[in-house]
Amino acid sequence: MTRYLLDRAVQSVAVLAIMSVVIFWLMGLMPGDLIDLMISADPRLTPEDAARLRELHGLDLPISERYLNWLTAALSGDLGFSRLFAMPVLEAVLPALGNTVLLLGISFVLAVAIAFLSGIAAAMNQHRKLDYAINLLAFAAISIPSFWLALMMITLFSVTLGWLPASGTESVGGGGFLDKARFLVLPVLTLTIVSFGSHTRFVRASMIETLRQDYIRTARAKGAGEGRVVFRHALRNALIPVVTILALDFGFLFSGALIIETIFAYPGMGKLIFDAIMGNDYNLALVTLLFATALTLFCNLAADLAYAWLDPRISYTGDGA
Amino acid sequence: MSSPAAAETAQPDILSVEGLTVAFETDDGPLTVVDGVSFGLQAGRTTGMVGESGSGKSVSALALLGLLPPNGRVAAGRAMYRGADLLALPADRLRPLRGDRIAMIFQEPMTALNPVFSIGDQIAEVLQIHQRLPRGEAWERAVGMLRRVGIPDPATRALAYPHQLSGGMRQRAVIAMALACGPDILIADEATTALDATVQAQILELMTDLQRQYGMAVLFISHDLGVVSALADDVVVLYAGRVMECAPASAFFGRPMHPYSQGMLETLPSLTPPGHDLPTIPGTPPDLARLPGGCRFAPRCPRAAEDCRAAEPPLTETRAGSRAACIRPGPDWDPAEDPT
Repeated sequence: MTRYLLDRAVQSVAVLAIMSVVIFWLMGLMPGDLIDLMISADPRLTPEDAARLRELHGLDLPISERYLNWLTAALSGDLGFSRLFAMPVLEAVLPALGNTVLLLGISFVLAVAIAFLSGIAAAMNQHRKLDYAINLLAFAAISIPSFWLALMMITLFSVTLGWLPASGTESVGGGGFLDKARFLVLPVLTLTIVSFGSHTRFVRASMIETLRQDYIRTARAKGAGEGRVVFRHALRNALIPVVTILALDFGFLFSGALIIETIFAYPGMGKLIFDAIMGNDYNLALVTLLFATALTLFCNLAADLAYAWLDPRISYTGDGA
Repeated sequence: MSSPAAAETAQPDILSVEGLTVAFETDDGPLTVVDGVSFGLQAGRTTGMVGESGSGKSVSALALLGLLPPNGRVAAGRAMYRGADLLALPADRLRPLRGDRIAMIFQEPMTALNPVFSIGDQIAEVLQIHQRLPRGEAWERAVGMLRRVGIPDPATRALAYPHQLSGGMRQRAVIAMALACGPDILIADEATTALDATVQAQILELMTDLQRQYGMAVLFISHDLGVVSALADDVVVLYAGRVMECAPASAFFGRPMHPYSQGMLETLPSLTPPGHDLPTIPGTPPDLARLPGGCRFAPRCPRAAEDCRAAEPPLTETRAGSRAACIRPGPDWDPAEDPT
């Protein structure tokens, strides 16, 4: 097991290294750099000044050397300075990370909880009215574009009804827990709605497949009640494929957060990535995009570990069957 | 195992099935797959139920336990067990009997066991459900059951998952699970079909042993007459959902009365002299949606005549303790003597 984890850690580091090269190179392709922005901000800047500044910031070097310089600094703990926020990158990232964890965490838990309840209920009532109703809702949720839903939420709950704030994380001057919670309602609701539909479909499909298995008939022949059959015998088996999809989907949720956070002006990682790229803030964009990569890698690893935990047939120690 | 039938059939039935009829809802309307099946089970005796695939053997067994798939339903019949009709019992009164008084073992031990729980867990669960034993005690009893079904080192094996055991060991675990509560009736549905011949022999021996110890009634469902002859006291032959013959094993294997039974017995390799091709019954079982009029075996029957196609022959007594659904029953039928 330790061996397996070590292997996976090495793999993850390799993927991160490759991704850092790709991201760095892609951002080097973007038109305009820091100095161009300075020129447009200050017309008195001469071409000589610009050349001097480029040399000062190392921007005159070929991209491979610039990457190596960045890598050396990053490995020694210096992730650079965010031009946009006028603070070290890490200081800009940490509060955004906290906000995103809160937003994604609540939405994910809610979406998964709804998906399990409705998916299991649908599977147990296959081809009956409840199943059709749940399917209809799930398909509706899958089909709704997140940006449209976000705007409709704002229109309805903030503009028309005036119940909930449309953007930000807290009232001006700060607020207590309840105040912060009010700001979370709309983005959380939007993210939950756009992600629970596909989860529900997966849970339902996996559950229907599992309920057809011979060992479910065995459980019934044993005299197990319906609750025991579904929640003990079927659910654990049905979870095995669902867990992978959920873990992979967490990465998707992260990209969904980019749109939702931008619309709700919610200062999380998604909005930070958006702002960093739009504002040519290389250092910040690099770190936030690498973070998204790391998150996806971590979710994959978590899925594989959850797999082994759920299914005794899967073993990473090498001595299992 | 076979013994004079007359004395033993006097014993009252522990389960008495009468006119069991099961229909499946299909796209083309209801399809009757079990049609008026009757038989009885007695404590300490094994009834072998034989027939080709699709003859309604498994469906009959599942119907008794209320385990029919959602599109199947019992259309008629009674199954009396200790004064209650199993087919009419509400689900919440049938469930406590399942696995406790009436247990079932299935064909494929790999898929019949839940892959994510240890076999000890799965055996202990039966005791937790029916006897409300605490987990520790149920586990101890589960280990004891594994020992009884001949699994070496049962305390360690109880921790194993199904995929870590061989087919024979798995079927032993399934048997241990079925017998954990000491049932009155054990239904074994093709319990040895998926096993190697040598393992099959071991499991049959184990089942015979355990039946002697527990004194339960066994309904042994199989398409394999050879296996049935090894352990059945009585035989029920199903064809296309109907009972063709029902007789004590000694009488049945000695002198089968129904032409279908005779045909099936002739196909047994042990009865064919070396160097000869195995005989087969010509034709195939009928499509249940398009049954021939009259006797459903008539199209394949060497004795079939006009009157066979007129009406379905009822199950009638042909000799003491034996019944056959045939107008011209008997082992010594000669075409020349037939008046029609």
